[in-house]
Amino acid sequence: MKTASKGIWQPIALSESIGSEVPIRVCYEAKEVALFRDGIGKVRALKDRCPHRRVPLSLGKVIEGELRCAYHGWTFDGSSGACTQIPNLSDEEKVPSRYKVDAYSVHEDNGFVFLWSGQNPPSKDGDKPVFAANEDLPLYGNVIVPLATSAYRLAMLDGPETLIGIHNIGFTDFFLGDPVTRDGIIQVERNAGWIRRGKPPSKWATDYPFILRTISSFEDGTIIHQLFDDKEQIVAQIYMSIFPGTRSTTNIVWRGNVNFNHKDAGKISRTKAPIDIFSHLDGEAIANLLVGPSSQFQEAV
Amino acid sequence: MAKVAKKQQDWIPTNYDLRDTWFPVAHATDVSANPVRRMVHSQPYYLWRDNGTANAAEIHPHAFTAANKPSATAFTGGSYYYPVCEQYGYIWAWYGNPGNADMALLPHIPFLPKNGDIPKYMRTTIRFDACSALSVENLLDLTHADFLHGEVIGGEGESESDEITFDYTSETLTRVRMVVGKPVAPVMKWLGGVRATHQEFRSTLHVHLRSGFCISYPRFRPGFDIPNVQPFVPNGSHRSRVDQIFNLTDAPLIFRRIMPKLAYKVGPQDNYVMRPQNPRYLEPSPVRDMHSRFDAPGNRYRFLMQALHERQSKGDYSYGSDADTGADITEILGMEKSID
Ligand code: FES
Repeated sequence: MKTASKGIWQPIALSESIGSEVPIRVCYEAKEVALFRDGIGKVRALKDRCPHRRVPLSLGKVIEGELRCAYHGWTFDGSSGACTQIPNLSDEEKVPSRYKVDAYSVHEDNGFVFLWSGQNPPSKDGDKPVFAANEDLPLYGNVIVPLATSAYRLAMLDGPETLIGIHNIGFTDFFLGDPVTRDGIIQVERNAGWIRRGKPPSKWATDYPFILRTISSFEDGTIIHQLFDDKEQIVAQIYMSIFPGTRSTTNIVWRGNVNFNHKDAGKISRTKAPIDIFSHLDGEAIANLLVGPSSQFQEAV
Repeated sequence: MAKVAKKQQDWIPTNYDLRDTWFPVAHATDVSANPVRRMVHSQPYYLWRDNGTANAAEIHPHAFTAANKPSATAFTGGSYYYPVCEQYGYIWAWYGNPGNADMALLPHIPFLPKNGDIPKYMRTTIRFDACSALSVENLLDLTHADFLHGEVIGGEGESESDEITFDYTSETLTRVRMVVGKPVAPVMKWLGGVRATHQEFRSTLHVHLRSGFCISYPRFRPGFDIPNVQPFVPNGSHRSRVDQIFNLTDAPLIFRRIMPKLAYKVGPQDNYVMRPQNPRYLEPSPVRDMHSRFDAPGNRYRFLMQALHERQSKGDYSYGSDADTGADITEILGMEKSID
C-alpha cells in the first residue's frame, strides 16, 4: 500500500486477533511490535521492549486501556508511548516525560490492521490503505512459514499448490499467457479444475472450469488470488499480506471468501477449511518447482 | 571469556566472568561415587566421591586413562583437579587460579550448620533461564513481586512504612528492607498460621558479587524467619542454576514442608520475564535502560559488577582491603547468634 508519504501500510494482523485484555506480538522484519486495543477499542502498536528492563511488553496486560509491563508494572499509553505510571511512586512523584517507548502508527480497515513502515509519519487522512476495501471476507487466519519471504513470493507465482489450497480445487501449471506487469504489480493466470477422487485436474481436459488469477505486489508483499469461472464470475478470493518475520520465516495474514451461492461452489466444503494457507510446507515440492512466471517477477523487480 | 575488553558502555550481565571465587557447585547430598557434571561459566566440573571424599575435576574420571585425554586448563593448574571442599551442605569448587584458593574466602552462613546436616526437603534445585547476574538482579528487585508472584505470595498491599537501604563493599552488596504494618501475606496466613492481620517484616539480602551467592534472611513478626541461600551459579551466558537451601526449623511444620516447594512455582514465574529478557542483554544496546528510584540497589549491583569486571580484565583478581568475604555476617542479617 504505497502512499504519498513514502512509506508502506503493511497489513500485519487481523482485527479479530487484537483484544483489549492482553496484547499480541508481531515481528515485522527487525521490528517487534506489541498490539492491543485501548480504552475506546482503537488498535495501538508499541515497540515490544520495555524501556525499563527490556522485557517484551507483549507479555503484559491491558489495564484501563493502557499497556502494563509484566515485570514491574510500568504502564504505557498506546498513542504516544509515554510511561504513565511507575507503581509505588508517591503522589508527588511524577514519571519523567522522556520515559517512553516507541509508538507506531496503525490503521484498522476491513478486518486488517496495518502498520506504517515509513521513516516519517503518514500524512493525515489522505494516506490510508485500501487493501481489500469493500470486500466481505469472513474467512481468515494467520500463519508463519519456514521459508524466506522472497522465496515464498516466487513460489506463489510458479506453484501456488505448494503453499495454498481451495478445497477440492486443483491449480494447474498451464499458465495463460505471460504475466502482466503494471502499476507495481504482476498478474499471473493459470487454469484450475476440480480435484476428483484425490486426483488433480486431468492434463487432457479440453477446457477447465476455472481460472486462478494471482496478483502480487512488488511493493508491500500483498497477494490477491481470484478464482473465477468461465463467465468471469468470482468463486473464491484470498487477500494475503506476506512479510518477513524472524529467522528467515515469513508471516502471512490473510482473509478470504467463497461465493457459496455460485452454482459450483457446493463442492467446496463449508466446514473443512474452504481456504487453506499451509503452515507446513513440502520442501521437496517447493525445491522441485520449475521456474515459470517468477522469472518475469524478478526481472520487473 | 569477556566479550569486550574496553570500558563497558552498557550493562551486559552475560559478560561478567569473574574469577577467583568459590562456587557451591552441588548439594553435598547430590554427589556420590557416580560422577555428576556441573558447569561454572563455561568450565565443566565433574564431581564424585572416593570413599566419601569429594573430588572436582575438569574431565570425567574415566577420561583420566583415555588415550586422547584433553589437556588440563589453567583452572586446575594442569592437574585436572579443582580445589574443592565441603561445607554448609554444599560441595564448593574453586573457579580461577587454583593457587589463590583459600578456605577463608568461603562465605559465612550463620543459619546453616557447617556440617551440612539439613533435611532433604529443605533443598531445592531451580534452573533459571537467564544468566546469573540477571537472576541476581531479579532477586535484589522488590517491586516485581506484585506483578509476577501475586498469586503465590500474595500482593504486597499498603503498609505503614516501607524502607529500603543498602550497603556495599567491592565484593558484596547488602540490601535491607524494613516494612512496618505489612498486611499478612496469604502464604503466612494459610500455611504459617499467623493470626494477626499485619506484620513487621525485615528482609536482608547479602550478595557475594563474584559468585552470585545470595544469602537471604526474611524475618516476620509476629511470625518466624525463613532464612535461605540462593547460589546463582552461572551456567554460561544464558542460564543459571540454583541449589537452594532453607533453614526452616523455626517455622510451623506444614509451612516447613511446603515453603521449599513454592520455589518451583516462583522460579517459573521469574523465568516468564527473564527468559525473553536475557537475549536482549547479550550485546550492548544503543538504548540505555531507564530506572526508577526502586532500582537503586540493582543499579549499585550493576556498578559494582562492572567495577570488578574491569579490574579483573586488567589482570587484578585480588580482594580489596574493604572486602572480607568470609566475615561473620550474623549481625548484618539481623540474627541474634550464629547456629554454629
Ligand atoms: S521491565 Fe517493564 S516494568 Fe520493569
